[in-house]
Amino acid sequence: MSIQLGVSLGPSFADCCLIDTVRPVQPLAYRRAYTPSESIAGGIHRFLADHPQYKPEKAIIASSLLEKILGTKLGGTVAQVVTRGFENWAFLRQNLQNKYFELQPQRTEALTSQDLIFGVTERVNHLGEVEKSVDVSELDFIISKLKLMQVERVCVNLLFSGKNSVHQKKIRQYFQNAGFEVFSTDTQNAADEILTWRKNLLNASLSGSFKEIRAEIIAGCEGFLSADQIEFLDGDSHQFVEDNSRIASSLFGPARALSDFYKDSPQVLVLGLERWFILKPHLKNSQWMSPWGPLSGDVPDIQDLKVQPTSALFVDESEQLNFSADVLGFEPGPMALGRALKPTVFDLLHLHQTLFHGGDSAENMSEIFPFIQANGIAKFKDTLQAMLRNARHSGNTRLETVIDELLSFMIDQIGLNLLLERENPKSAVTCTGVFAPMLLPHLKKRWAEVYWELCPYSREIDGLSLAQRSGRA
Amino acid sequence: MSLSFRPDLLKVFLQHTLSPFDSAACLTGEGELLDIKYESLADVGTLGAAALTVTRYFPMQLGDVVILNDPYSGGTTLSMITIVTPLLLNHAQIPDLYLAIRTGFQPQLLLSKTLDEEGLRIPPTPIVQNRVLNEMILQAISAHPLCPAGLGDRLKATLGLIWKRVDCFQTLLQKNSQFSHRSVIKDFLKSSRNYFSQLLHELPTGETKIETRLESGELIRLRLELNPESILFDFAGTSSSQKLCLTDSATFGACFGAVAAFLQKPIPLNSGSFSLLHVTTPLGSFLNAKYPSPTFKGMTEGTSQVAGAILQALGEIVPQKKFSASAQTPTQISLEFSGGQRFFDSLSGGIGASPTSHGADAVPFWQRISLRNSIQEIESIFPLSIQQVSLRKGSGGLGQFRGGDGLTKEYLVHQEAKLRWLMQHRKSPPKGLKGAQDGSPPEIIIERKNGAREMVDSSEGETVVHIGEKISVASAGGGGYGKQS
Repeated sequence: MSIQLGVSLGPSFADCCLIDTVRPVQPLAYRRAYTPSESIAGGIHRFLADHPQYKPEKAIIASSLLEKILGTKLGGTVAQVVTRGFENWAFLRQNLQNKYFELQPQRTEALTSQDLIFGVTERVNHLGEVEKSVDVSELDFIISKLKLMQVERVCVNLLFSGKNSVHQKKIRQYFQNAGFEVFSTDTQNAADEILTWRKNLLNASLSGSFKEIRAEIIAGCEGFLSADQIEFLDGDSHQFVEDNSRIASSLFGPARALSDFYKDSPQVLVLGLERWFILKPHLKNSQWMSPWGPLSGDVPDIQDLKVQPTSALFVDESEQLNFSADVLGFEPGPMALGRALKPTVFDLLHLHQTLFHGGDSAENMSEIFPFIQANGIAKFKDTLQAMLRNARHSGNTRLETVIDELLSFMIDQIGLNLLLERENPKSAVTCTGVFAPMLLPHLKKRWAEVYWELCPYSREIDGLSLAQRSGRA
Repeated sequence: MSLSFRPDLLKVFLQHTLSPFDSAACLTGEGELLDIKYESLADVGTLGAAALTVTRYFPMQLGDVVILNDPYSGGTTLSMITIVTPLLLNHAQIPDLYLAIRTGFQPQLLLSKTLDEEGLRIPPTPIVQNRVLNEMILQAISAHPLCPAGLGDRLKATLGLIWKRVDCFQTLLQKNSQFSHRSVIKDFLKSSRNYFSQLLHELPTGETKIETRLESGELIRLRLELNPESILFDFAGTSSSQKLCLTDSATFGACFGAVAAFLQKPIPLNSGSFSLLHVTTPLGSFLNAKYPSPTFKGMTEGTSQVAGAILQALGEIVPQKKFSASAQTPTQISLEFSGGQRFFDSLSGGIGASPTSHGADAVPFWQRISLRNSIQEIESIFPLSIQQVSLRKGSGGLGQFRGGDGLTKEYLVHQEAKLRWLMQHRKSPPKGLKGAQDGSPPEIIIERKNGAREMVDSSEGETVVHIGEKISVASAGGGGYGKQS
């Protein structure tokens, strides 16, 4: 028996799974922890302690937990050293916040403070020839300033360093010798320098939080696994113990694990607890879109659905009850958890199960999420009825009818998403994730022309797909 | 579970359908626009016009495609190719539906007197029949020296996405055609009209007249009437022009875009909302030009100038929404190298400050196009090196709230080239409000090999630059707001 632990960390949940690598398909044990009410370390430790008969030899971790801090103000303590004359370049290439015309269009907030960007005299041309040599003594002033400001992380972003990395290596070494953590990439695959620069910046900005997560996981595994037995997975199938160039890419670790798990399926509809998306395991993208713009890195081909499990419900401009583009997440969570004030798809699904499928299915939903509160459900019903008073409807305001229509509209949207993303209409669609068993009957009924397959172990798939992975790639 | 589609699935379908394209529209055969995705002001008004021109002159079957870039057939600049194809035809209960998709190529700044001097003009041309690309026609177009590079590849990639959408629509119809029934479309457009009207109800009613003299000499004369049921734009008295020319549909796009920006709320982009706008452009004026007038300048700078004038007029009626002026038109340059390569760049200016915040630095005001302007890519393709790209510090007007700064870029040329430029705001930089300073005007300086520094003194023109000479281009800053304490 050779036991392996898989942990998938989402923004609000940690899925833990133990398998025997000799018989890897069947999970030996499984647990989902709600991380706002239970620490990551506590969740993992409790899981391992509950199953003392299984002694893991290795853990594979994938984390999209950092996603929830994307879009918020990052950095601040990250400095950037760039080719002189291009100090503002990364910021100037950032995405606009405004999709439509506005009187005050804005860029997304800068990844690093403009006061922490330093130009150095150096230039390599497009042939890789050095036009201006770097003089590292120029860096002494920057180093003393950064030390004064207690900045510990530095990105080195130089033009054409992919053609000739001599300057980049020199500067990196100089900063490392001075005790800084340095983020830079010598091999730039992308023709566009900003894709690499942005990746370095994001790696640096997320580095602190990533280290905290890693420390929590190590703490959670204490007594069962040592730090070097815990490997992280990035979006390009690399498993690593410590590598600061893979932090941003590790956001795609959970999707990569699923992509590798379903490598023989042409398309997978993932209806997970926190995210719904279409995955094409045979495809990968060489860049991905962050809130600041595209950045380089091989990641799985995923397409988020327009409706998500925590999409808010609202009355739209046509006075119809509809699904908003706002995804509220699980903190404070759907109304069914008793604390939040905005109704979500999650609440809708729970009520639908209760109203139409009675005890069994409703219990299933509560099993998926044990924190559902009766008063939360009651509040959701009241809110929905209040919204209905403001909405235009076909005349039938019975709650059951409205809920059924909304669910039907959601199933139509999921089907539409899938039809437009499908490579081959004749190939099967594998359906997986916590909500798959619940929603697949509806999908099958509505979209009968699609050949659907339900993946066994849909509920455990996030942890299971990681636990099954072999050694470091 | 309900078995019928909810009527607003049509709206969801349209959003999904248009989302992978930079700019696109869906409309009925009768010309009712159902949804638009845009990148520029001109797109808003011209995508529907392009589809209508095609449907009028070309009877199409499903699987047929017509392409065009002719501004007088619904195109904008010659570097933008529009692809028109039916989504649905000859259904008993649903009107014919068409898609118009626009894809952009490297622009060419040619300051010409006629459209045909600006590049290759493609009138509506059937290029795909029954999903089979006519390679002969494609080759004939691609053989032209001014044909956008990579047209064939781009067209093929776009066609793949189009067929998927057409097939998806057929699947939906087979299930239930009610979701796109005539009555649903009528209701959909009506609710958009009502929603837009509600937004207009939040504004005061009023009328204003303004006159704006552009730096290139043209006069915009506008009478604007604002009320909850309609907005009237009467451009009677607007002058003609030899170089700055827009089509009437592009002018309509500028009017709608300005209103949308002013309201600062998303407005449904369809005929329901459009029906509240009434735009009159006198024939022969530069806002309603005819072939063979050139359109590059009009479709880029011109639309921005018109939209800017409308913001000014709306600000007269609703003074509390009057912001300081932004550098609404970018500074544009092109280099035509002696080896034949053509480089184009566009530098955004600063945004005007508002009564509550500073203006943003170097942001495109009326464009949502992401120009591929990587330094490494440019230097690997063109015989030039970029020495510097930075914010033009201090170019935003000072005030209680500072105008956004413009941008500075320095190019060193490695091969003789013809430099062309277009820059507005040179004589009248973006105005500050309530005692704040104006933004700085744009400027172009050429550092000659003999050490001479030549400052360009016209808003448009061309000159020759030699190996080793440096061009420094700076875009305008935005106006400040309020007296600086």
